[in-house]
Parts: sequence; structure tokens; C-alpha cells
Amino acid sequence: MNWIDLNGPKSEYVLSSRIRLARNLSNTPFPNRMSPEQADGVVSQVESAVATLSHPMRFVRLDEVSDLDRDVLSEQQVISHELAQAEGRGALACDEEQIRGIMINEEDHLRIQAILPGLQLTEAYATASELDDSLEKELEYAYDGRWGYLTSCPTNVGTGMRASVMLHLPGLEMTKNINGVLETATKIGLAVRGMFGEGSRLHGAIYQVSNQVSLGHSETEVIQTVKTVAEQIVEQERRVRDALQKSNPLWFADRIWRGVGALSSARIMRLKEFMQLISRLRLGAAMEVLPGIGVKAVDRLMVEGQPGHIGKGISEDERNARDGLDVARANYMRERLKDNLSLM
Amino acid sequence: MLCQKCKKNEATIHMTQIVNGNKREIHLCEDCAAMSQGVKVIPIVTLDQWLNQIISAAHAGIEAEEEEHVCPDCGITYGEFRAGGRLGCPACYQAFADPLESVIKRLHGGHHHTGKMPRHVDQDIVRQRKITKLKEELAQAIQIEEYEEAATLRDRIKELEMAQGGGDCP
Repeated sequence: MNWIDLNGPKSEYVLSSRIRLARNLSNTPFPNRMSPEQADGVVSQVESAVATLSHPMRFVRLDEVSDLDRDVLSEQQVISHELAQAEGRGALACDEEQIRGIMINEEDHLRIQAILPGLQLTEAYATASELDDSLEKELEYAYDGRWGYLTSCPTNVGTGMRASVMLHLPGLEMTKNINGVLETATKIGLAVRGMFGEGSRLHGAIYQVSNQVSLGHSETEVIQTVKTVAEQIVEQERRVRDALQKSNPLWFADRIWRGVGALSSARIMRLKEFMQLISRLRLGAAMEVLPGIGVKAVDRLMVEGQPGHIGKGISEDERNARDGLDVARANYMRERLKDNLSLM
Repeated sequence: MLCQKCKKNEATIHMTQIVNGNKREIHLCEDCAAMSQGVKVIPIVTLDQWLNQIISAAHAGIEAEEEEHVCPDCGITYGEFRAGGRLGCPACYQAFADPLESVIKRLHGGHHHTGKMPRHVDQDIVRQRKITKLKEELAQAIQIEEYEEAATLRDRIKELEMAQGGGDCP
């Protein structure tokens, strides 16, 4: 079963917790300066190391994968958007649940990642670190006593770790409290960015909070900071949601049901609108306004509504037709919500 | 088209205002548009922009010859790193140690890795790290006048420094 479908602590507010560890092989140029032969060498070395793991992983060379399939992998967060777009010799290894993964030849030789549903940063770190330990038996990492794990970009040197949580904050957004909350997180050295948006325009009230700094603090300290801040933001979101629902339950329910209405009857649905509506659906599921549907089902729909997933389900002609993807998205959502609606 | 208000940024927001039947076109940049609505805009700085600013700030006084400095392992010059923000190979950290130190300090605040390390790493590093940590504890113990504790700590530091191969015992 994929992690997206699994329940996690505080899933009503937190989509996922992710740990990424950047690692490089010693005596090999970083990916931005490798020859194609060296890049292939890294892929082979990592492939052999992956073969020794007790937890089996599938290994995929990305130049053998279609553009559409790469988009699908990126939407499932198995690979980064950058690696999906890259021309070079990238590869990926991941387990069946897509919890453990390794991106190969992204910005660094290895980007080890562990992703879990809900707020589970400590658990995600334990998982990633265990994978790191197993790989380290087979690979020689570039490491310096003073500067720690050496990375292509000095912003990642040290632990090479990025700990991030993806939060759903429609209440704070609706009440215009979001900027204050996020500014505070930024002040204590965390990075906050919107997901599923272009530039500064955010869709779906989904925000990612992560550490900025990777040198000078241990992994445990960094995780504790990100976790504490995430918990505080979640608490504020919880209060705002409760206040909104209590102060005017009918208005609250109306907002959500209108979202359901549009999602289950539209004929053309652009990505931006889709994200706005799915955000309302998720809020409704979390606040038990929609009895027939849970947040995990909504998260699954959110992934399935992304361009790669929608594109994968239709023919090339349909994709190229006018509003092709948007029509297919609307059709798909109508079909998927039909079953749920009878329960609501 | 430039923003009508600040006349500096590209206008990306175009509005049509109708006041008393008179139509007026307004072209503003995002910042000015937000300000006119009373909205506070948080500037979104990408990681690369941020890194570039820090590298530039750290090297305000850097000499031209430093820019030409080459990593013997991968052949990247310091100037190339400065422009692209990515180092060429693990050996670059040695080759550009001096200027990088200031970049890394500005980026991270700290300048010593204190987290996880590979198992194969030399025991010396492990010991050195313990010594640094114990010395911090020692300074603290002295400050709060816990002399018994301080003596114990000092002995442990000595022991580790001896194991380190002589060390710098007083």
C-alpha cells in the first residue's frame, strides 16, 4: 500500500513529513560536473548497493522512462520536479510503498528520502538514516570532519538534511492569518513555501515548512525545531477552524458543499481551480462535514488530479485537444465523486 | 511596460478603474498593487538568489586572482562556483577552503558539523568532537563554580587528548 493512503498523526492538518539526506561519493565530481561515463558509473555503483539492501527496492533509470511517467513520479513525490525535467543520467530507487527512496544524480549523487503520512518527522528520519547506514556499507561517502557530508551546494553541507512537513492551512488562509504565522516561522530560520503554485501564487492552501540550515546543529535538534514549529502552526489552524465552524456552522458547511458541488459537476476544470476546490473538500473531510469521505481519500484525489496523472489516463489526441487535460480532470472527478456522494 | 507608481518594476497587474463614468487604465507592479490594496507582500527569494547574495556579500573584498583559483581535482574555478552556486567535487571544499569558510559561516551560522557521520570515519574525528563538547561543558562548569565537576571534565579531556596522539596538554 502506498504511503499516501495510510493514516498518520494529525493527518487532518499535515499531509506528509519528509526527510531528505544529500550524499555524494568521494573522488567523483558532483553531478553538475560529471562526464556521462562518470554519471553512469555512479548509477551502477548505487544500483549494486541497492541490490544488497534487505528491504527490496525497484531501480529505474530515468532516461528509459517517458516524460509523462516522470511527471507521475514527481507528482507522487518519489522524485523532485528538477530530476523529472533533467536531461542527464538520473535514476531512482524506491520501495513498494514509496516511503523509502533514493534519487540518483540529481543535484547530489544521492538524495536519500523517507516520506510518511501526517506529522512523523522523527520516524521519517529513523527510516532515512537506516537506509543511509545500509548504503554506506557499500559506498564511500565524501565526508569532512569539520564540514560533515560534502554537497554540491554549500547550502546543504553538514548534515545534508532537509526535514520538511507539508501542511494544509485553509483556516489560517481564509482568516488572513497565514502571513503572520509564516513570517514567524521564517524568522526562526525555517523556510516556508507554497506547494502546487507558480511563483508567489499558491493554490490549495498547502505549505511546506522546512529547515534552511544544515551545519552546526545535529539532525535531532533540527528535526525538533521543525516539528515544534509545525505543531504550533497546526494548533493555530485547529483553533481557527473550530472558531470558523462554531461561529457560523451553516456558512462553513455551505462553503464546503459548494466545493463538492463544483467538483462533482464541472465539465472543465483547470488545475488552479481544482486545487482550490480539493482544499475545501479536504477541510470538509477533516471537520467531518462530509461524512462519506476521509482526508486520505482526498489526498489520493489530489494526486490523481495533477497533470501527469490525468494525462496518463487519456490518449495523446485527447491530451492535445482544446482544454484536453481540464476536460479529462473534470470527467475524472465527477466519476470518482459519484460513489462518495451517495454516502455523504 | 513599467509600473506607473514606482516606475521601476515591470507592470504585471492591469486594472480598469471607472470613477464617475470616466474610465482609467492602471498598470502596476505586484508590490505597488499590493500596497494600494493594503496587503503586505512577503518577497519570495529563491534559494539560488539567496545563495548568490551571500556569496557576493562574503566576497566583497575578494581579489581577482582568487576568482581564477582552480580546484586541482575537477578544474572548476572559484569564479565559476561564484557564478553558478555549485561546487565541482568534494575536493573543492579543500581547494577553496578559505573563501568557502566565510560563505558557509554566513549561510549556516555554525561552522562545525555536529551531526551524524559515516561509520568508516576516523576515530580521531569522533574523539575531537568529544573533546570540543567536553571543553564547552568545562567552561560552563567553571562559570557556575562547579569545581568538582570541572576537575572530572578536565581529566576526561586529558585522557582523550592523550589518546589523540600527544595532544596539547598543558
